[in-house]
Amino acid sequence: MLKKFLVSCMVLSMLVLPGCGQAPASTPTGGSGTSSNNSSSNSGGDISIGILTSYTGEMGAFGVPVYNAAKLAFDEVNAEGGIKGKKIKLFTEDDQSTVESGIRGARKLITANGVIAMHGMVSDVLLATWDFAKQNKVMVTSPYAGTTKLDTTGGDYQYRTVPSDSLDGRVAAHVLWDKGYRKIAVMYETAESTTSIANAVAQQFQQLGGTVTIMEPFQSRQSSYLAELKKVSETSPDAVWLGSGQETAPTVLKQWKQRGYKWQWMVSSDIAVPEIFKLVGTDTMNGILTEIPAGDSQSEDYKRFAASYKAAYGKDPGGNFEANSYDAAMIMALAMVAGGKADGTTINENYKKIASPPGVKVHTFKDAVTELKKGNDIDYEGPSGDVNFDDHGTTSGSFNALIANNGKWEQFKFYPASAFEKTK
Amino acid sequence: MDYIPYLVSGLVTGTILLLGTVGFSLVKRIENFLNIAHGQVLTLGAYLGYTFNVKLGWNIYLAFLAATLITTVVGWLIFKVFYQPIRSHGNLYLLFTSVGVAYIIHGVIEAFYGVQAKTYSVPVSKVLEINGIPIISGTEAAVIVLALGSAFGLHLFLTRTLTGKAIRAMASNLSLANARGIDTEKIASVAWLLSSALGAMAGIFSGMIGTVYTDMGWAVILLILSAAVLGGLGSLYGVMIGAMIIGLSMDLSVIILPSSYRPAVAFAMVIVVLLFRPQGILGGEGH
Repeated sequence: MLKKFLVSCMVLSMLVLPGCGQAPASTPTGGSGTSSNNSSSNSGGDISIGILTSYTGEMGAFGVPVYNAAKLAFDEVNAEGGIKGKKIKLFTEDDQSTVESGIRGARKLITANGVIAMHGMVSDVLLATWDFAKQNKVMVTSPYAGTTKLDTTGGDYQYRTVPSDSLDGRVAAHVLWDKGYRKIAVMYETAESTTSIANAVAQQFQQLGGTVTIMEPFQSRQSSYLAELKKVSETSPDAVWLGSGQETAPTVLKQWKQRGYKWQWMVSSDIAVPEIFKLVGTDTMNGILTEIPAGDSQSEDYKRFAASYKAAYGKDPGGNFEANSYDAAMIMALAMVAGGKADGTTINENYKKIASPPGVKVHTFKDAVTELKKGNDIDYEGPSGDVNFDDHGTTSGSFNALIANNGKWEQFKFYPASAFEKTK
Repeated sequence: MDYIPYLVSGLVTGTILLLGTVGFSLVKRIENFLNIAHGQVLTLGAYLGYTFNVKLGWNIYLAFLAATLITTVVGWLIFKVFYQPIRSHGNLYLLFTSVGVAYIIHGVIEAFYGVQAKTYSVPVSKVLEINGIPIISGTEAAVIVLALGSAFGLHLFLTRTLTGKAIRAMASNLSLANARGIDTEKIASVAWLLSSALGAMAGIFSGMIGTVYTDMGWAVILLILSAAVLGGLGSLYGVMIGAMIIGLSMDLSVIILPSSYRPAVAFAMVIVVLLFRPQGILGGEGH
């Protein structure tokens, strides 16, 4: 009898329960032989592009802004007549911040919707779907996949308009160091992105001469993190860097406050969304530091982008990688214009070329098309910065150091891309 | 002394899990199927708690009462609408219906509340310190006391009242209970009410300690299943012990292992116990 129930438990946990399984999802390479036909089948009508992003789960706050920002770019392209007369049409799937759902979404977008490119994935999902996309000659881009795994492997049917976590970690370490902390602990969720930044933070902080008292990985969505906090407190750090998401971080931060621990927090950019103040409480958040890969919010490009974003969605952009998403989409469209064809291979071949020097600096789709028609090379720059790509499809990028103050993230220092290029 | 905070955190995890598992096992005993939707009942309780506590601004304990009450009724209605009519087809039908029900509740909650995680507004309570080591906060103490109190209340109910005894009789031998003149339909209803109430409480308690999010039901049902199996499926006292063992071992393991191994420790405990006691701690079909 018990055996029967054990078996049903196992079957259920493997087959039925979504969102909680750690079970490796099957690789999406099988059973997709027709997909390449699909992706070329849209040569007559619209250009299909997929947004595969997180509308739910730990990264749930990013989904809508990332989609909206990309849509804003494509709407501008369509308003200018599209690409060679063809309009861009968007399909979207929710990856639920998990690899399993991400793979499912990618399969659907590529095989059923016949998209030529996918945009909006977080690190785990991007790594899991990239091979499948590449086999189908589908381009993948992301506004926030910072994983260090792409540092030396990316750039082939894959680009990102965000710096690598190694740079992200370097900035975080610098911000803590500049603030005068010399002894830090690192707590992080065992996901690809948080682990990769956490390692970078620790390594960079030690290189600066600081001490890392403990590296404490933890599982997401536990009901309690008291044990983890206690363990960190025993090493008495001055500051703790926390790499986590929007469902887990509130528990950690609230329990920290309840326990009366006093250390300075610095949190990863995944937590630095406006919604976090409601979840954690303005009081508890006050004084917490973060840094986010972002363009200078004072630049003309950003101001123009922010205005049209607000006009379209009634909300200011900020904190959700909107500018990065907009640029990724815009470059995608320009790559098609430059290559003269609407397919993944064309985007892949032209993505870096049209956004990196040499070339005439352009800031809008219209200007870019004009320059391209004249036969000039172009170097697109947008709201997220100069978006120049290295050989592995990663932008250098600038950073904003922010501090939580009465329910808002306030910029206290801007680190331009040049600040870190020389120390590399 | 240094280990006490870990112990407290294990107690919190364990008692919340205990409430969830006892409700789950009660249904398992009476209806003889694994109610997968039980995790979603926890989620429902947690979200209703959010509605009363944050949206309507009620005191957390009032919100707790209101949310528990509504979830209890909803849980019972679900039994009446979905499970009772198909009960005669056998427990495999019930099992898969419960999976469907789980998706329905999950979907409704997501449609209604959206996908963003939520938190309660629980006032930051004073922390009891001994020798400068923070031991336990007021909220945590309240959760432990209320959870253990409810479990003890359930024990009294099952052993001291006629209805409670009837539940135990039904759980041991349904046809015999029927033959002895127990109104099994009425008793089944009581069991579902109890199960939903306990589930709602577990959900609200985890909301008080952590965050409320739409997928919490899926995450918790796995722990509930393992606690239930560990304790000996269906033995109510066994699953209480099982839940405490899992809660404590997960949080105490953090002392020697990186905490990312927490779930692995929970399942390792299940395997170890089952190697020596395949029927679970207090298991055995006759219980």
